Amino acid sequence: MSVVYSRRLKKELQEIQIEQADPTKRAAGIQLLQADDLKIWFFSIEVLGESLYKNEVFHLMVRFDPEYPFKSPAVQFVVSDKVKPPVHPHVYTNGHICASILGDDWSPTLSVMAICITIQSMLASCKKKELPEGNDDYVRTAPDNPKKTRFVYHDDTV
Amino acid sequence: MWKNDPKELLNSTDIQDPTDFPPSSTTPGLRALDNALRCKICQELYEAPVVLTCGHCFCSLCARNQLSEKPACPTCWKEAAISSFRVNPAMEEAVTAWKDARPFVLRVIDEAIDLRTTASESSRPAKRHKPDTPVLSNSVSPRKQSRGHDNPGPSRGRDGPDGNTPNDDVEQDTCSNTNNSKSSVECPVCGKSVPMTKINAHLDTNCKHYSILSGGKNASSSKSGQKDAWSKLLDGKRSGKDKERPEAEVEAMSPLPKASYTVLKDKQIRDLLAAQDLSTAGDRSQLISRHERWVALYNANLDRSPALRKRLAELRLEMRRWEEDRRASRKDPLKIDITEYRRANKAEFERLVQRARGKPGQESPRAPDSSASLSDRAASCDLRGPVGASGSETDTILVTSDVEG
Repeated sequence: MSVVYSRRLKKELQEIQIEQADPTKRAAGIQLLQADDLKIWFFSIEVLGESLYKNEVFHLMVRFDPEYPFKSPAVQFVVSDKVKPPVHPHVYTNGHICASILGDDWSPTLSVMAICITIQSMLASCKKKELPEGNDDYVRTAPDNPKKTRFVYHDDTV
Repeated sequence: MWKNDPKELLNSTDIQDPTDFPPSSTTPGLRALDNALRCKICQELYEAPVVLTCGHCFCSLCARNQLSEKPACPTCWKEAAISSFRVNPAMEEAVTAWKDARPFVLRVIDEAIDLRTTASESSRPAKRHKPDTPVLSNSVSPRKQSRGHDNPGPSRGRDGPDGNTPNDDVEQDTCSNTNNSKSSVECPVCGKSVPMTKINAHLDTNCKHYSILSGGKNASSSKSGQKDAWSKLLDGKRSGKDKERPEAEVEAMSPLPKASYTVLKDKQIRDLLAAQDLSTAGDRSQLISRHERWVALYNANLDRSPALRKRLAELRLEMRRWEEDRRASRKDPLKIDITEYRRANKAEFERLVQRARGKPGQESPRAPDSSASLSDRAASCDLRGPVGASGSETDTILVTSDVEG
């Protein structure tokens, strides 16, 4: 399994790098910041065009385990002095994201890029900047790894 | 397997993917073709391709791994089960041929692009080339791809006219047009080379006579392919008669049954592993995952066509590599140190203890939500807002035991 893991991630990385070198193919607003190994990658995400998040740049942290791609990677927004997570009804202030694609709806036919694009469109289609319900309670008790949280996916609109 | 070395990551040359080919404006269809012959899970060219009931195709091992996570097709989420796999020999054949052709095609493209750039530099550098001009036609013709498996059937030529039995005469009539001299075939029973004309007589004498000692003229690869094909055809019809075939080859014919580990005791699982010559070390979960992995590897191998199957020794090697990878990845950085976690959340635990002791009747308004989300997801689907349940079930259990202790 882990042979699949390393080979597939290297393929994805290679593809991302080829895409980023070619402006016609690059997914606009998504950029690979760092991929030193096959355990943790960082992306920057911004929503181009008209949206509530105009001129805001967010950083996404993607962590893999050797079960990838059979298990989804752990994805969350980076929270630091420099970058803050977006204010969004599905994004907690600790950076955790409630999106079915990161949990039950993950499929090994998806890719890291597919996740980034999904999250970008999740931001783009947001109609009201607000924190998720129960944010404070969740953030106080949340595990370090968002994959340990059992989210309930209820909202198909955003 | 991969150390944290960015250079090694970037300089990897053994990774092949569809982007090895130029975009479709330069070489129409090649990128798409390479992509079409790849499993959507591992992104490699199909290994032992199988088709699910929905029609989507995956490597057998990939599909087995995925279905143990979730019994549905990862592309369309239609229900799927290992028992309803259909092998896809047509895809396998296409992939085998493409594996042969791929490096050749890539080389030809490189040469053609080189030619084109030198030509355009010398003649009319200003004018743009039409991007969709087929650039390959000139360079393809001089080389012909030679492939061993194009014609896997036994050669139909024949020996001199010295056949004696009546069967021989019949055969002589049917293939007298294709008169390659000295043609031989592989005996399906003993595997020795026998003159085409003598094969029936050879079989009639229980493989005692007429074999050619020096061996046939077939290439060794197609020979073993033939042998496998024969042995698959004839397996089951001849019980116990063939002393000459190695044991492993015979036993490799039937898939291993899945075990229902929940009703098995540790010892029984160890017995299962021992029966497959596998290690019986480790705790129960290790034993189970080892056996599961072996069954998946073994049965996936049977989804290849017989000529392409790996030997048991190769499977064991893969198994050993998998165990090593697992051992290495057990020190997973994603795992939390429990004592660290306890210390970091001490205040929170104390708060919970206080609350639990102080007002047993009162519960916070959020409590029903989180318990529902843990126990019954379906029922809680209509809840407002994503429920921030405090950690997974294991975490919650951990918290509870802390409160009590």
